Amino acid sequence: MDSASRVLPDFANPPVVETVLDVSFSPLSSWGIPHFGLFWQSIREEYPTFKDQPPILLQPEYYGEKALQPLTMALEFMNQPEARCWFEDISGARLIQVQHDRFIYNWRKTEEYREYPHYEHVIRPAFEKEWKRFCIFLEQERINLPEVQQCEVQYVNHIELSGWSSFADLVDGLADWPSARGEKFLPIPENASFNISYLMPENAGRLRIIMQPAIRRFDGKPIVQLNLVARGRPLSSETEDILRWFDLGREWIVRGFTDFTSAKMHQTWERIV
Amino acid sequence: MPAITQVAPISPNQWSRVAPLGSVADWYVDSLESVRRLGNMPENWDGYRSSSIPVRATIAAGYVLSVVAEHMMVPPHIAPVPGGGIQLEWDRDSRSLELEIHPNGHLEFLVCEGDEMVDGPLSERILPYLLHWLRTGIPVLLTEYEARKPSTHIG
Repeated sequence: MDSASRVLPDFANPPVVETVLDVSFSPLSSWGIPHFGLFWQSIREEYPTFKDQPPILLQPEYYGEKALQPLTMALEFMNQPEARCWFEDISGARLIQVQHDRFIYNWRKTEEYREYPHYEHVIRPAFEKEWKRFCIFLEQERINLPEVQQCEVQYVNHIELSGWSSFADLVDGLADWPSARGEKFLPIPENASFNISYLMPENAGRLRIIMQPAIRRFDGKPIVQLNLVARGRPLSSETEDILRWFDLGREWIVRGFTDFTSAKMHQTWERIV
Repeated sequence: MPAITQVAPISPNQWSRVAPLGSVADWYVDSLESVRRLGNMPENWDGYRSSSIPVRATIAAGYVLSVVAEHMMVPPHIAPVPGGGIQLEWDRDSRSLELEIHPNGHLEFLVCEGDEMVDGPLSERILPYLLHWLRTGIPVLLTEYEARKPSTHIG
């Protein structure tokens, strides 16, 4: 049984506001600025809006000895365009991001589409369709198909400041932190940020859980942003292996989210399974 | 013993925008509260039959403030504008920057230095240049604005 078909925890009203499926690959040697426009032409009916963005650098996951080495600065001479293009769909809920070494598919919650469209039924098939369309475009332009370096699944959760009163209510395990309930000298923590990583077995990848108090820009509301990011390298650059890695990453995210957050919040988010 | 692995920042591939607390200026949250209070003012708040400030304007103001706060600027003077808009204003040396949020959410800027004034529509692309100019006084070329008025410089 593969990870996609296992029964995972499920919530009727989860705090997820965005999911990201991201494929990094070796720079496409013959990709140039005109290809952004040509690719846009091929998807423009569905994705009519574009925005220029600065490129994203690859953050490779290292394991074992290599993970312990200090970060070093590297200078790289680029002969490919340093650009990333956003192509947004009409609904404002779907986004494709393209650069010479990256393809990213985003779904986000909007006023119109408030319900989370589940990964298996909507997000995964949508990514597969767009990725295949991108690969067909590369073939048509006689550009070598991507040699995939890393895949990333990310779930962005926005937790509003209602229904809980301290971080111990939100995060399982925080109840034992100093003064989590304000019973010692220290008062209840005013704020808390985390960046925790978990290694997957056999160095299949790494799950990062990042919690950060923030202000949501579109409505100015204070929230806690909880990002769960799973990164790793698929077995090959074949679409089936990319999807298989996404399934694994997503399983770690869903199980990780369930472990990390408290039973009290699971009630708020209407846990089903 | 747990391994000490590199701590990577949140991946910048996220689409939904937030201003993480700690990476924005301290005055940001207070300024949002000021904008909220303006949004709660009733009709005729100035005694001259001015409309109340619509939610669209307060949301736009909050968004502009989040961008400004990331540049660690000093806090703006925030004031309501007759007709239902919001104005954010900074003065520094002989320079001043005004950002006006109209009731329909449209944004405009006005910069002044001495007797020189330049105004135009405000976009997220232009705003960092305006803030840089206000902070440093170094003249900048507003490329978006230039497209419409080729001879305009700020500073």
